[in-house]
Amino acid sequence: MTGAQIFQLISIFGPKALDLIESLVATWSKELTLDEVLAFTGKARKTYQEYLDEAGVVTPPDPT
Amino acid sequence: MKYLPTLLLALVLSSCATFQGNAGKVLASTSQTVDAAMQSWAQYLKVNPLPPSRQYKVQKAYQNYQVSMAAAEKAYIALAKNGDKNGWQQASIALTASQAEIIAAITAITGKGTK
Repeated sequence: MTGAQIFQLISIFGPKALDLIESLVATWSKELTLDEVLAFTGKARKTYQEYLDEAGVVTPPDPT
Repeated sequence: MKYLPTLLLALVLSSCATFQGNAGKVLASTSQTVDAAMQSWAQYLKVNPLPPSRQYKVQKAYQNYQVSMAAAEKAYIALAKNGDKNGWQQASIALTASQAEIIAAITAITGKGTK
């Protein structure tokens, strides 16, 4: 991962980018089993609304 | 010279393993990146509530990503179980594009990025 890529991640995610970078480094530093890969891909089954609900987001209605 | 076929076989097998290994890492790292992006987006919305019409592009981009990830997962399983590389390249291109779409949609609204 280059310095430019790290800077881009930080500009998008803020300080939490460092946690993400650490996770990505761990992912790329070892061989993953099929089950481990599928555990990651399973995260994509989370719905958009579930992300919002977990964060406690209250969505205001569109103005009429 | 008599060891050449064995050597070639080892080379092919190792390159197959590397191809599959890298494919798995692409899936895993894409999943991690999008998960982090979506969590950041949700945190942004918590502080800056937006109506559904303003969230639509991010929501749509995420749904497109889910479709791409399902296809990429299927291609990866075919690669891992049968050594079938055919579907992976196309699926990985679509997956990478969908990840970029999500990040672009989020940063278009949040400006310099989510906190």
